[in-house]
Amino acid sequence: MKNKIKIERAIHNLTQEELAQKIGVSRQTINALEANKYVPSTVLALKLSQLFGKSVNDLFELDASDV
Amino acid sequence: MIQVPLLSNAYKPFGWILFASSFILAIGNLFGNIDFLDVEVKLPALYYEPVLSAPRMFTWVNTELFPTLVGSLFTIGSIILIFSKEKEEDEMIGFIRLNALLWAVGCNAIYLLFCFLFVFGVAFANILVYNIATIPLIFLARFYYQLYKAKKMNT
Repeated sequence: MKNKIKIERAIHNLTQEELAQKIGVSRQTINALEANKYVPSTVLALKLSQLFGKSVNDLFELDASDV
Repeated sequence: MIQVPLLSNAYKPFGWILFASSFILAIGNLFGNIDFLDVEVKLPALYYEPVLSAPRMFTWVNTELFPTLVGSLFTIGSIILIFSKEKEEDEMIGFIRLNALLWAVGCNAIYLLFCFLFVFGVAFANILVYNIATIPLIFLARFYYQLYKAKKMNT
């Protein structure tokens, strides 16, 4: 699964640490998410969607390995 | 979200002390016959099967205190280490923990299968004793390696 977390974080001018604090996870988790090494839970995806004001579908998309 | 209930991170140092000290004492006891207490105690037994007489249930047994104590402390230390939170606990660390447990159970099964097929006699009984430690050891190695990798990726 691919995501646009890094782009949205840059648009909102947030560091990984700030974003991690806002959604209650560690900085490693944000880093792993941005590197597409970790697929978040629905709860975390919804928290990110709420924070960035975008739908989950706008933030995340399936890639070839998910089909 | 419902999460697996875990102990506070404050228990972790206590878990490490129990785990490491009892592990060293167990190695000393198993391979060097080290017994710092050399005391026999009477303990309650649900089931007891002596070598040359009939098995008994709900009875008392005389046993050496040292191996019983070291084994119990090792198990308690392992449980505390496996089930206590990291400093910054979140869902990814929870995922790494479950993944490490899966690895530990899988590797332990492969290790047992190998021993069933290729190790026999008294050595096999010894392997069953060592088997007490394999799941916690593999879990800790995998869990902290994955955490190290996640932290390294971050820097």
